[in-house]
Amino acid sequence: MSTVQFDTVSVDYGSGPVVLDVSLEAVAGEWLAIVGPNGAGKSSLLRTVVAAVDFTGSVLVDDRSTTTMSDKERAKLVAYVSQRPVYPQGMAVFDYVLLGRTPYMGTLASESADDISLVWEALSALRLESFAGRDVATLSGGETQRVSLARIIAQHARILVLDEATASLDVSAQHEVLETIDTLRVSHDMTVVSAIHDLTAAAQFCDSVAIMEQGRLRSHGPPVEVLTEAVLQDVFDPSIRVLEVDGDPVIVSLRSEEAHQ
Amino acid sequence: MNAGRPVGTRLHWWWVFGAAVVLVAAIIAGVMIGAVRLSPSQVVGSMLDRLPFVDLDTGLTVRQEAIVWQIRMPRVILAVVVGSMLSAAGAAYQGVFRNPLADPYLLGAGAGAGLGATLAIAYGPNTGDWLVDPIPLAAFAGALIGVSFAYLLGYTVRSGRTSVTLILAGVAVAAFLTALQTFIQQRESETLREVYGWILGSLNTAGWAEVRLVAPYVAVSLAVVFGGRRLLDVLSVGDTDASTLGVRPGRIRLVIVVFATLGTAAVVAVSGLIGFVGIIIPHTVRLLTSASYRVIVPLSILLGGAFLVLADIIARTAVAPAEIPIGVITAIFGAPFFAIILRTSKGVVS
Repeated sequence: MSTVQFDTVSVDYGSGPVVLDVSLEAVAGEWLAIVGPNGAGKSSLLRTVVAAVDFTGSVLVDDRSTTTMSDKERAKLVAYVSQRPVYPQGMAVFDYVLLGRTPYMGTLASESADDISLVWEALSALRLESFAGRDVATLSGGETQRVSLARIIAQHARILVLDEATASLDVSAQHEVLETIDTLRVSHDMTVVSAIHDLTAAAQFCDSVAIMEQGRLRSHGPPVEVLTEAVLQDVFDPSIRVLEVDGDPVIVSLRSEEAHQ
Repeated sequence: MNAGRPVGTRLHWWWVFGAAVVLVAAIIAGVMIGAVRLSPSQVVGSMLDRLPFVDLDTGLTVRQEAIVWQIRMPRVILAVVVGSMLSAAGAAYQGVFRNPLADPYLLGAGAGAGLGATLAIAYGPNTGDWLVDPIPLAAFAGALIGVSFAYLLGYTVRSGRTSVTLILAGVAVAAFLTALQTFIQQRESETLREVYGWILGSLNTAGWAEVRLVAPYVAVSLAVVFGGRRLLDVLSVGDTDASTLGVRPGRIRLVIVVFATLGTAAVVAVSGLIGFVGIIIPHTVRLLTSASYRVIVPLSILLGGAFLVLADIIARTAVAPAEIPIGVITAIFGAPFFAIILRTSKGVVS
């Protein structure tokens, strides 16, 4: 299992910092949720792990800086699913999952028999065998998320970076995908770092939560300690209430009295 | 362990075989058809006779042999080379730019070649005095300069070097070069006919010399595009995701564009601006077989060659002894053919 350490990470696209001096660690095997309002810098912070943005400070995976690794080394260690992944029209599910084998292939090489059997393993882990020949562009939201997860399994990464993986799903599909991620995290010894909007889901599924506000880290710790009404009202909106159902926090936003009139 | 289950996209041998058969049939037809009619058996016999250790009595006269090997075959082979190159370059451009409308002239190769050829025709020295014909040389240089400008412009845009910036840079450069070309063409109106004929494309100067001239460029270019076919699939998920899979999208794009442009510039130099091939052949392959560049690139190479041989047959025989510019034929016959494919295919068969 692998750790991810952010050490005074800052990101600036040229018009002021969007991430500022964030130091944070995801311990081996845990699920770390990054929460915060839109524009708080969650996506930019996640992109530093895969070196998809220029940043200052350092990001260490197993004590090695991700920027000094080769692209292939990094890809073997860290897998990433963006907010809106592109599922190319006409590409078969099998071929999409096969892309996960890219870091293991030579530049001009084709897939080996090993690659093919690893793709089948990944498809089977996500119960997608019967989808192998389907066009990825025609799948439902929940199905595409499972296809992305299968690609990550084929990639054999130790760290899974998810940027709002479930934002576009309905309640039950979201729950199913998060449950699947959790199962894979345990069965494949992965560490998960994910941006997530649904605070209740973050509390349910994640081992620790980091709250970001305007590019800075506001607080970090176990969900029950971090997701408090006072902090959330300050960071998000005064209308936020933290309820409790069966001992778990449920975070909702209430409509104000005036709006009801 | 997975026998019998559907596997993802593969280049099935029967697709390659089918495309190769179409290409060979087109070549035989191209050599047969013309003012002097030859039979398929004469053509095939004469071709087999040229193989090592084969000695056939083809029954061809010396004059017929000369027609086959000195006149028709070089022209047919040049059509194969040009058609393969334009189709492969079109597929490569569509892949690296993730844009179905991309064609080999997208980044200004066509406009640059047009300007170069126009300059050479309007102001160049009398071509008879030269060891090398200055028109192809100027067209080749123009194409490379045009694309270099587009790349430099696209690359120096600060707000992100995406494929869209590059396409827009290409559009700007192409518009500028075309305007210059039109200006010169209008000022030197006595050259209008020659310039126009060049722009619409023709293979009528073809001898073995032209084939030898472009073959090395095309061979290298096709090898690079063919070698990069799987990387084109990786790029199809977008630059960010591709980079997290351990490849460098910008570098792949640069290498593929450089080599596709080199081959395109070479064939444009000897054949003019033959349009449409680079769009319809890759799309026809895509609609009939698969969206994977592992399939599109090799089949486009075979079928692009066949298509241009067939187009050239029509170009040189329809109003013989005059010729129709081949660029006109590729559009007149290619567009309806493509429309039929577009309407009848269900999209992509996977």
